[in-house]
This record gives sequence, C-alpha cells and structure tokens, in this order.
Amino acid sequence: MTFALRINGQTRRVDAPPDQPLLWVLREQLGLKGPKYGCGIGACGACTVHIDGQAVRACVTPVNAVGQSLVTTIEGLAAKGTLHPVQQAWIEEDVAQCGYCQAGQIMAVASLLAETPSPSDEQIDAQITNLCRCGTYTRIRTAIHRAAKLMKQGAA
Amino acid sequence: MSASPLTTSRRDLLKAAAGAGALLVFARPQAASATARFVGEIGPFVRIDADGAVTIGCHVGEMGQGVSTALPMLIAEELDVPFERVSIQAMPLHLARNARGQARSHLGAGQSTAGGSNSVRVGFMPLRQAGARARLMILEAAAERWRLPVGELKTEDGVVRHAASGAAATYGELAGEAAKRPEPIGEIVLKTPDRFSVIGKPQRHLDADRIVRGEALFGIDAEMPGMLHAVVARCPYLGGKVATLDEAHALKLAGVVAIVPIPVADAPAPPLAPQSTPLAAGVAVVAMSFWEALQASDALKITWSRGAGAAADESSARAYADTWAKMESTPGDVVRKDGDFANLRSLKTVSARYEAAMVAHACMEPPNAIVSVDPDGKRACAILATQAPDVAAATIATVTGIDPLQIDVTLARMGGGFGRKFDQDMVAEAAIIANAVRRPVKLVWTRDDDLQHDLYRPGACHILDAAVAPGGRILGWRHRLATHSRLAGAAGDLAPRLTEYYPDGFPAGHVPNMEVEYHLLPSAAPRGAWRGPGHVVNAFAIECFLDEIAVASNRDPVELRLDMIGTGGAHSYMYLPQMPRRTFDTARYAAVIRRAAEASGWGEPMPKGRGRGFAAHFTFESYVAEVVEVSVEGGRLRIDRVTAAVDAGLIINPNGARAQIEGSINDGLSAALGQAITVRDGQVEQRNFSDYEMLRMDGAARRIDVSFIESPEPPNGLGEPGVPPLAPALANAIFAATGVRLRRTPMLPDLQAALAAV
Ligand code: FES
Ligand code: FES
Repeated sequence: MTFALRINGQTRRVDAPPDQPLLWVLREQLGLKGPKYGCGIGACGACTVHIDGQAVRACVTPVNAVGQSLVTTIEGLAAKGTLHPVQQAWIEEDVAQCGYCQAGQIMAVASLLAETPSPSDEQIDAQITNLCRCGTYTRIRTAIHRAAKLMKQGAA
Repeated sequence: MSASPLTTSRRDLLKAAAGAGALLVFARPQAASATARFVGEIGPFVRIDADGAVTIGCHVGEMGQGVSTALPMLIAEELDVPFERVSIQAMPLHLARNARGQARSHLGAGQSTAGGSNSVRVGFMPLRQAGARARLMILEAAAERWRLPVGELKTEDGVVRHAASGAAATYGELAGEAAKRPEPIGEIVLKTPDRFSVIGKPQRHLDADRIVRGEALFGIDAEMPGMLHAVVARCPYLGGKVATLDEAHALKLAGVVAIVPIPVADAPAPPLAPQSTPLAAGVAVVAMSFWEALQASDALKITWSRGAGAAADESSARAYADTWAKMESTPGDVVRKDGDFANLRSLKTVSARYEAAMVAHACMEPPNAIVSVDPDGKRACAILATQAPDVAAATIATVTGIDPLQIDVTLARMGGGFGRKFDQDMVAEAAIIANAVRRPVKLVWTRDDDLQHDLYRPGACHILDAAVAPGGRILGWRHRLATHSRLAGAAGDLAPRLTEYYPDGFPAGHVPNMEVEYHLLPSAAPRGAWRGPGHVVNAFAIECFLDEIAVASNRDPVELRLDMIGTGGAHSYMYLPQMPRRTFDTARYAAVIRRAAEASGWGEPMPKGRGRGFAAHFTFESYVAEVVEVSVEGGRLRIDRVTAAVDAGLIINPNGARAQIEGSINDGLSAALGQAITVRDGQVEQRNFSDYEMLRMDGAARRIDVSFIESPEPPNGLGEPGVPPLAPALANAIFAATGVRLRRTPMLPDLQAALAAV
C-alpha cells in the first residue's frame, strides 16, 4: 500500500504493508535513523516520536494508523536548526552516555513539557518511563527541570 | 595490501582530509621498520587544517564510557591546543601482521580493545607522546621558517611564539610545512602536571550535539550500498539444534532473498575457534528490509532438538539447589588458603549465604553487525559496533577464510557495550551470512534474540563463615563460592575459578586465617563478561557479610573495615596468572572509605523507615566506596541518595568520570533490584523487557554525589569500578531502614515478600 505521511513538515510517500510498524518505515524507508529500535513491543521508549504532539512508541504503531496526523521525529524537533530547549538542556547537563536511548527520552520529555510545563518529580517518575541501560536517569531528571526553566525563559 | 600499515592509514586520513580541502599534520610514530613500529605504538592521530581546526583520531570504540572525549584530551594536552577547537574522528582499523604473525591493529596490539576499564590507563603515556610528537613537528616547522632554534620557541593555545622577536604563527599556518617534516625520534619530555590545561578540566561529551539531534551514529544505523538485511531464528534450547526446517513458505514472502543455515558443532556453548565465541544453531533469513526478514523468519517452520545431556531439561532452580548441597558436602578447588580456619572452632561464628541470578547485558542497542564479502570471496569489509575490533576481524577471517589483511573494519558508535560487544557471535553470524550471499548484509538481533541468546553474567552461590574474637576482631574467614564461570565450556580454557574470584581482593591480607573454595555452578547457557566481571557478585557477598559481622558484633560497619585495614599499605594483587601483578594499596582503600563516610553524613541519625548502607570495592585498580540512603514507605523502596568516593588516580575528565560513576550506580541498582535470567526446561525464560525488569526513572537514585580523591597517581579507568559496591551498599541500607536482610539478587521479589509478611 502507498501512504503519504506528513513527517517533519514534509509529505513523504512510502510503499509498505499496512501493518508494518512506523518505526521501520521511518528508519529503513525514509532514512530517519533518530528513532531507535530497542524492544519492538512498546516497552522501552527508544522509538518515541510525536504524532500530533503526543509521544508515541513507533515500534507498535502500524503505519496505516498514522493517517493525516503530523509526525515529528527527533530530526524534526529542532525548529529550523535551532535546538529545542530539551535538546539544549540535554547538552548543558551532558546527559548522554552511549546516547542510544536519548532521542526517545528527549521526545518523551518534549511532549511531557508541552502539557506539563513544570513537572514535579512524581510527575516525571510517572510519565517518563523510557529505559536507559547507561543509567543516565539522574541527569535526565536535572535536565528536565532545566529544560522547563529554559522554556519559561523562552516564553517570557 | 603491500604498503606498510602506517602508509595505508596515513593515506586514508589524507583521503578523508582531502575531501575537506585540508592541510595536514600527522603525529606519526617513528620507527625504522614496520615491525618495530608495530609493537606497542599508536599510530597517526592528529590532523590540523589551514584554518586551525584540529581533528584528533580515536582508536577505541565509544560505547558511552567517554573514551572519545578522554583519549583525545590526552593528545590535545601535549599538542597544546584548546580543547574547544578539537573535533574527533573514529580511526579506521587497519590490520598488519605483528612479529608473531598475528593480524592486529597497527595502532597497538590489543589497545583498540575496550575492556577491563583499560583505555585511559593504557593510553595515558602513548597518546600524550603522540600529541607531543605532533607539537614538535609544528615547532620545527616554525624554527625552520624563522631560522631560529627550536629551544627558543613556545606554544600556547595552538600558536607558536618567539618572545624575543615577537614572531608568531598559528598551527594552521604551519600545518603544511610541519606535515612534510621527518618524524621526531625517541621519547619526548612531556608536560608536568602543574602545566596541564586540558587534563583535569571538565569537558562535555564531544558528540553531545550530534546525539541530541538524533544523528545516525550507531552500528545499527549504518549502511552499505546494496545492503541486505538479516534476521536469525535461533534454537531456543540451550545447546540445541535444528531438527527439521521447512523454508518453502518463507522463501515466497515479499522481499526474501535467501535462507542461510547457521551451523554449529555438537556441545553446549560450542566455541568458534579461535575466539571461543559460542553460537546458537539457527537459520538466517536474508531480505530486502529488516521488517521483511523478521516476518519471514517468523514464518519459517522449524522444529528444534534439545541440547544434549544436562542441557536438555536444565532448570536454574534445580541447578542452584544441587549446588548449595554440593558446596556443603564436597570440598571445592582451593583458591586461597592462609592459616587454618578449622582451628578457630572455639570462637563465635557468623555465617550467611548469598545468591545471585544470572543477568543479561541488555544494551539498549541490540547486537548487530554489517559485513560485506566481495563476490570473489577474497576481501571483506565490516561496519561494527564492537569493543574488540581486532578480534572482530579475526572472527570474520576464521569464518570466511579471507586473509585478515584483506578485511577492513570501521568502528561505529555502540549503543552500550558493558562487555557484550566484546564477544563476536553477532559478527560471526553476519560473516557466515555475508559469505553465503556475497553481498553486504546487516544483521540485527531482536530484543527477544538478545535476552534469549546473551552471554550472560554468571550467577552465584556464596557461603561465608567468619570467626570473630570477643573484642570483635575477625580472626577467620571462610568463603565457599560457586559460579557459572564465564570461561567454563570452551576447551583449553583456564580453570573456571580464575575469572570468578580475585584472590587478593579485600579482606585477603587483613584476616589471619582465610580460606576460599570454588565450585562450578553448572549451566549450558553461554556466559560472558558483564561490566565488572567477577567483581560485582563477589563484592555483594563480601561487603554484605562484613555488614552482618558488624551488626553481630555491635560495631559500626565503617569502623570495622577501617580497623581491619589499620594503616594499610601495598598488597600484591593478581588478576590472572599470565598478567602482570598489580598493587592494591589499602591505604588508598581506607581513604575512600573515610571520604564516603564523611561526605554522606555517615552515623548521623535518620528517621524511621530510612537507612544508610555502606560498601567498598577495588576494581581494575580503582578504589570506590559508596553509601546508599533509602527510604521504605508503604512497601515502596526509594533510593534517596547515593554518595560515592573514588580514587582512580589522576582524573582526566572530571565530568566524564562523574558520569561513569553516576551511571554505574543506576546500572548497579537496575541489576541488583529487578534483573534475573532463569532457565527452565532447557530454555531461557525471559524474552523482552516485559519479563526482564530493568530500572526506570522512578527507581533511579534521586541524588548522586561523587567525590574524587585528588591524586598524582597514574589514571585508571572508571567504566566499571562504580558498580560493585552498589548492590551490597543497597542491601545494607535496606537492612538499616527495615531490619530486612536481603541476601539474594534480584532483591525486589524478596523485599516485597518480606514487607508483605510484616
Ligand atoms: S522499540 Fe519501541 S518501545 Fe522499545
Ligand atoms: S545513554 Fe546509553 S542507554 Fe541511555
């Protein structure tokens, strides 16, 4: 089947079986390698993208469920090349170790902050459930609070 | 490849630079012959463009341990350039034969291997020399240009200056001339530490920007033109085989190109000579895309036969029960014997048993490998996320019969390694498949493949007994342990116990009568190195037991340790019999113990339901002590704070070093609390993150404080040493908070059961 997907501000046409997960369409057909494969069952968050602004796990999202929704991957998060405050905070706190999980973490956090601009630690615990084997969680928490501040400054 | 390895690699970097229109300087190792040059040398590392941009090569794979920042810092220091101006490039691995005829990376035998937390320790002097050589070539170019003696010139921040005449030139201006100069000969006098301007200053991860933008840096992201994709269906039975295969349906599916069997010899964990990499029997599906390969591999109709002998219906529960019984009834291999423990019968005895489950590596990037074999079968190339590129090339050579010098390996960033990407099973499989189809193939393991076919961290049983004098002094220590051993299984391997217990670790030398005995805990599941191999589980048993002794004799656990150490001093420490002995300096050990206690507020009273636990360990020549602070409320465990004190000698990058300890603490929590690999009916039970419980944000340490001892000693690695003290400090903290003594990892099931019972 042919799909016209609206991704990172462009319309991209792809041929794919309707049940193929969006993750593999992004990675293999569209060359968007930012979303990562980690489990394929929605349990790790490495593949997180935004669909209409909501954080979604692309490995369990069939391509035919996307429709006309707007898909944003980590590659499209930096508006016109300017880093998103979450990306900026990630650099300032030097969060990444191996970095493999971080695109997914950043996408999950960007979506959290869009809805909850100043999350409490309990809200972070409940909402950010992505895995990181390198154990960067403690810096992720600091970076989330920093990103929240950066966003407030940006809005002011 | 007739050119010398040096020339080849020089040409490659030249090629890379030519694309950017750059001028070049190389810090080339000098030597008379290719052979002499090969031994112990690290190759060309530095490139400087006309605009002054500095590119430094990194020869060790980056997996999050920070080498691609820390190692270039060593070069930049002696080169005398501001680190902000440096960018990093992974270096190509080119193989050459060493004096013994083995194909090894010319960058230095074995030094491209990331393991044993060795990269910074081993690279400290040679990489500084490489930087100093490059600087000298630039100085000589300036001296020639100005007709001045080299001795009158100084460098600073990428500029050469002559104070008397006021002459000055940037490295970029001198780069072209410097590149043409002959190699400086001999050892160069290096900076004294008081002149360091890069080493010891916190630096951010140089790839941080590319990572947050989601750039395709990892092995799993790489591509080759015309590349196919492979997925392997592996036998779920340990040591089992393919009984029957019906591939007809799968072959008809969209995108499927070929079906390739992965044959293995009879035996549990059969070794793939000479790398001892065990492979699981299986069938590979090669297709145009990963998704198509995965669909087709699910569609294969395969019946599997069980493994032979005990593997056929192996059960972890039974193996552990049998082993506990055997440890009580039968003497094991003697690992260490000082004095006579049996003579101390009249003293008060403290005894305890500890158990650890096998765990998996579960790197967030699952195993993968890209290998291409030319149509004539004479050359191969590979893009690999590997900790051991030399061994990877040797593996491809073994599988394909291709001369190792005709194999090109490019290193990609690893999405975690932790010892998993030290082994080459994924590379061997990709090589078998690529050799069959003679095209570039990317093999990706699914998470199920990864958890079912990991090279697991050995599990263990420990029985500890101590004889304690009335004043609380420990006079006798008997330690009987059994582990799966990460070596057992391959023919010709060292005795299994040698990798499982380091006989000179604490408390050896600090207890007059000490006996250690080893038993093998049998399993057909393959085992490998897991971050801090041997250390993590032993430290759990030993450091929990010290806490139990302290409680039983009414002593403070920190004081007990410090009393045992006394003034401390240098003890000879064996890793493996064939390796040089190291020094375990218990005065340094005592210093981290004191520092962690002070920094954590050890001894200050805590409210009910909260507690602190202490543990320390010496791992790969680094000293780490940790205090874990927990609260247990309403049946829920929270890690409020972890304080670590670390002596790893001179710290190259304080920020990266801190990140390693922080990560080790959360990783240690993850492994200690929830993770377990179990075998039932001859198969590993766990399949994905749904039944393999890893730490998430809500379970991570809320606060981590790391304190480094300022030290003039040579630097040691920090990728692993932060892990071993964590589990015992955690168990000791939970005891302090709740009175529940946890003696088994994973701890959460036992904790929940104990809390439910009260
Ligand atoms: S890969 Fe999608 S959640 Fe793990
Ligand atoms: S940074 Fe390595 S898995 Fe998160």
